[in-house]
Amino acid sequence: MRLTVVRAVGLVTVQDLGRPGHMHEGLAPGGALVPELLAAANSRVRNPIGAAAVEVMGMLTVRAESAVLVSTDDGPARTLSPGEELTVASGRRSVAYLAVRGGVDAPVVLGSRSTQLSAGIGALIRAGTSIDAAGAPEDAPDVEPFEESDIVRIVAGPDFEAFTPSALPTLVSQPYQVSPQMSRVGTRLSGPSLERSRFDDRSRPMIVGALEVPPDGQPIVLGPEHPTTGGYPVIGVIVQADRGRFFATPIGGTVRFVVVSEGR
Amino acid sequence: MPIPIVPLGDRAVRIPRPPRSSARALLDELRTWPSVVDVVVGREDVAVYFAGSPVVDPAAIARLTRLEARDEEARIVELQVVYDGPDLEEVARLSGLSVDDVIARHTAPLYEVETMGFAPGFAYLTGLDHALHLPRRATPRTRVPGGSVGLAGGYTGVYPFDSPGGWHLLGRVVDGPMFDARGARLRLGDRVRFLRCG
Repeated sequence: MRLTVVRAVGLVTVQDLGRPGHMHEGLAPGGALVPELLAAANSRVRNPIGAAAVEVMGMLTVRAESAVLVSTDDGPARTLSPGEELTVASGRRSVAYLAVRGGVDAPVVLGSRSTQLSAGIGALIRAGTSIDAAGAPEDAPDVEPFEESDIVRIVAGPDFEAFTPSALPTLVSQPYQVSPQMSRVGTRLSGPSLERSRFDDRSRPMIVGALEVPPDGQPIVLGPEHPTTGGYPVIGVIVQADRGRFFATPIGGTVRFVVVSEGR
Repeated sequence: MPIPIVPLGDRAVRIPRPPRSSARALLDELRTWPSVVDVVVGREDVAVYFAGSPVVDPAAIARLTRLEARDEEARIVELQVVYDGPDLEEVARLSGLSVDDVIARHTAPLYEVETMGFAPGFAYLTGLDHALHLPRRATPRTRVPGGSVGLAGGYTGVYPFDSPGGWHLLGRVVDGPMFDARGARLRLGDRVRFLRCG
C-alpha cells in the first residue's frame, strides 16, 4: 500500500506517540501534537491508537498508488482506488491527521517513528514523498470522542517567585489568543501581559504544556519538541488531560485558563 | 532541612539539586523511582516525569543528598577539534591571551558534563579555565553551525545542530555528530577532553 504526495504545504510530518525516556540527553519526547486526534484517525482504520500517521499543520494532497484504506481524524474511513487523490487540511483545528491501515512506515529511531526536526530525525513531507504502510496488526481500539472546549486547566507554578501577585489572576481573567507563531516547539499566545517581578534567567527543566513567560509578558506554551531546559520562568503547566485540547486550537482561536491546583 | 518538592504540572515534580551532587548519580537514582519515565538534571534543579500522578517517597528524597559520585565509572570522551572559530581572536583579546594560549587553556582540562539541555545532545561542560570565563556575546548569532565549539558563562560545549546561539565560537568538532540515531554522544557525568587537530 503506497501513497504519493502530490502537494504538501506547511509542517507535514510523520508522528506517533513520540520517544519518552531521553530527556536527560536533551531530547524532549516529541510525538503527535494532539494524541487524541491521532488515536481517532488510527481507530477508524483499525490501527493501534499510537500507530504512526501523517500530522498535517497546513495542507496535504496524496494520490493512491494501490487500493489503500485511509482515514482522517474526522473520518469516516474510506478506501482510495489506485490514482484517486485525497486532500487533508488543518484549519478548523491546528492539525489534522491522516492514518493509513497498518500505520505509516518510517525508520524507528530511539523507539519512535516520529519526525523530530529539532533532533535531525526524519524530514518534512514534500511533493514526491512516498508514504508506505507499515504492518501494524488490526486492532479495535475504543476511542473517546474528542471533547471541544476552550477551557484549559493548569497547575500553577512552579516559578511563583518570578511573578508579581497579580500575574496569575491576570492569566485566568481573560481569554488568550493563539498567535501565528505556532510550531511543534512552542506556541506564542497574545493577551493581557503577565508581569514578572524580577528578571531571572536561570535555566530550568521544562515540560510540554508549560507556560513560559519571556520579558514581554506574553506566554509561550511549550510543544512536544520543546528544549528540555529553558531560561524563562513558568507561571503554570497545562494538565495532561487538556494538552491535546489546547494544541488543537487553531491560530486565532482563544482559550481560557483555569487553575485547578495551586501547586503548593 | 527537607528538600522542597514543587509540582511541574500534574505529571512531574521539580526538586532543587542538592549542592555538589553528581549528575550521573542523581540520574541513576531518580530513574529507579516507581513510574518514572524521564529525568532532567538541570544546573540548580532536577525534574522527574511520571507515567501518572507523581508519587514521591520522602525517604527517597532524603537519599538524594547522600548520593555518592562514582568517579571510577565515568567515561572519558575525547573530541577532535579544529580551532578555526570566528571568535578565537575576540576571546583572546577579551581574556588577555594569545590565540595559542586560548587553545592551550581550552584543551588542557578534563571537563565534566554537569547538565544537558537547550538542544538534543547539548552538554554543559564544567571545568573551564578561569581566564576563559566570559559573558555571552552581546548579540547572539541567528545561526551557529552544528558541531561548533563555544564558551560562555563559565561553561564550554558543542552545538549539536544548526541553531541560534550566543556563545563565543572557538572551533568545530570534526570526528562525528554530537547527536544521531543512537542518541547523544555525551552523557551526564562523562569526562570530556578536546584534542586539537588543526
